[in-house]
Amino acid sequence: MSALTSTPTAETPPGRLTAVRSFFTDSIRANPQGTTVRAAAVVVLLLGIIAIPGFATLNNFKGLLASVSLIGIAAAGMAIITISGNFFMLSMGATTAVSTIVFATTLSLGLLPAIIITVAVGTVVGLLQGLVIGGWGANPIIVTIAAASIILGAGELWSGGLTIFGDGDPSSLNAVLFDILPVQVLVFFAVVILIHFVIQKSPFGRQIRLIGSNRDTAEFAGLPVKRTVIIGYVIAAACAAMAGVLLGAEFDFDVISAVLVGGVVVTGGKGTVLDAAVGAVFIGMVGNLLIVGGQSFALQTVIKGVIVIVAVSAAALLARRKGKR
Amino acid sequence: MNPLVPVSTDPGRTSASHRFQRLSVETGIRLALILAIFVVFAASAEDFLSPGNLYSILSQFALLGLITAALGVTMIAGEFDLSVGAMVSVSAVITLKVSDAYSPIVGLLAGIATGALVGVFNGILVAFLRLSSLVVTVGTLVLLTGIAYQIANNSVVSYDNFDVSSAVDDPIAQILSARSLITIGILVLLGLMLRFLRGGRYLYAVGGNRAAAFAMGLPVDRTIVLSMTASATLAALAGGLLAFSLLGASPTTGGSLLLQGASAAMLGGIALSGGVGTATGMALGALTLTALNSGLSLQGVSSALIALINGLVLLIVIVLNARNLGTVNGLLVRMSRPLHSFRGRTENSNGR
Repeated sequence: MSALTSTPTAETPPGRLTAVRSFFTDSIRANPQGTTVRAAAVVVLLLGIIAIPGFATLNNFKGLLASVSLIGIAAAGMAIITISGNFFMLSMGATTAVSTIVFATTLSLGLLPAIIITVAVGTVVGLLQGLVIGGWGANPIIVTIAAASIILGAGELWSGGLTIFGDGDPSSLNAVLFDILPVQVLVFFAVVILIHFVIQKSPFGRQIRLIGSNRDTAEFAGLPVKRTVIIGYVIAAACAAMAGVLLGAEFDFDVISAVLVGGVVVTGGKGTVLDAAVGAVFIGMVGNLLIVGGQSFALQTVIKGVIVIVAVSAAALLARRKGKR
Repeated sequence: MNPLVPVSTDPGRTSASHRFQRLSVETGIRLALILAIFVVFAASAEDFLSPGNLYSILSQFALLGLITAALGVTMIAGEFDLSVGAMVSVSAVITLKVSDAYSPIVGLLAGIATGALVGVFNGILVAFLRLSSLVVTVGTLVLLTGIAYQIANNSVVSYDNFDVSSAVDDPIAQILSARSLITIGILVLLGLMLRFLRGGRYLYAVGGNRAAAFAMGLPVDRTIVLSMTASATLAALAGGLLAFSLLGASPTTGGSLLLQGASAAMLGGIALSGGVGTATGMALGALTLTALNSGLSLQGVSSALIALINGLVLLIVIVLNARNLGTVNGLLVRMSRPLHSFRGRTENSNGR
């Protein structure tokens, strides 16, 4: 659609402005929520740089990037679940938290083995949930709520409720490249770009999107629906485990907020992994701005909730208007 | 009979006697399960059947019963309220703050009123914006958590009026208390409303087959708003009473209630696909879970293991239910596309 409307005007010199304008109107029309969030992120960034002293410092940016990366990696995994029409994976925070324990206990074996073991454990956890949800057809929300309880309970039993200190050297994970890019950020970029292209371009990704937008059609077309959903859960849990390797925290609802605000639609099939990552950046930036501006954790949470409700309501209103046209 | 007139699609009326039979068999199985739990634990721990322990089970039931009712009412309507736990926290914090400033009655009413307000807000977004209740209640969950932290000022709110805690918690007839009597009363009332009031029947119709309910001209939007309002209000009541009992509240008070409430509702036979479930089922589900947890902790089982077992119980129930009811498909139809997908067409969207 964009090629049709913008190429003829781009050839004539006076039309260049129109070309730019039509590029923007096209992208708004194609992905209204994603474009709005991207624009809002830029506005928040500029606002922070101009109005909040202490926001535009190197140290703050490093901290911001690191925290956004964690949410972003998990949001990329969550986006697969949401796009495939299975709503949310409410066990993601639990997987991340327990992955930290696994990582710390296995660190004595060396950094790489510890990472591999942690992600492998996450994969198994995701596989089990995928089997119950995709293979057996159980409700995704309730299964992942139950899984969260089982995972956290098992983690607490394993660690005896104590903090586990790793016996090894994870320092290369905290390394900073060129004085500004923490390793977490590189992992974040790599994970998002990889999963984004897998979902957008590969046959597996197309299957995920078709299952999300119309499961019956996918089944009639003979797609391996069960297998695809199971693989989706495996990837999502592996993402959660990877976030746990980098730094563990329970943040289910931050991740869901990022996915929803970014414009991944809960009915499935719509939205991209990149949208979810942008949502994570936006939510992270707003939170950071409030902290640096001296606001409380409480206000930060209130504002996150308002953003989610406003974003999904606006998207619903927009979709309704589109439907009437 | 005119064959052109469609038979009523209200599942409660089509085959009432058959349905009643099936339901009473299910209720029987549930009663047997509770009895089994009581027998096993009574045999292995002599304190299990002591008045003190029965009182403690019923006190926990007072909280969980209300949460189960809150989740159950939305589940019957084919929706789901993820924000019940956060609602409990907010209401608990507000109740104590207002009680401290005015009086306990005003405090409890303030907490309940907040719940009703939040419920109406949830319901309007779900019914009129055609949003999935999961999405809306994730938003209110985050929002309410923030509000709870804001009001509690990041700490624990305490209230040293012991008259209030003894009013709600003093044993009545050894094993009951005002709190558990309120919960039992509300479950009875809910049961009567679901069975005999027109609004209660609408709830089953809207949850069981929303397209048919809409085509028959039932007030679908209003029923959804009412069910979401009932859910948040019941959660708020639970939060207020819990705060009076503990004389303290924190932003994390409602923490693990979502898992337990969902487990109890599923144990009680409330189907996620909507349209199925009774107040008796909710009560039995909540009682089963509280008895199980009480018995386990009497055996000295750690809280981590109890959390794990609760998760396993929920998982087993959902796996058993999945095959009978085809929940994923039903849920996809009813929860993710509340209304707009069939506005304008009236074919059966029941799935398989």
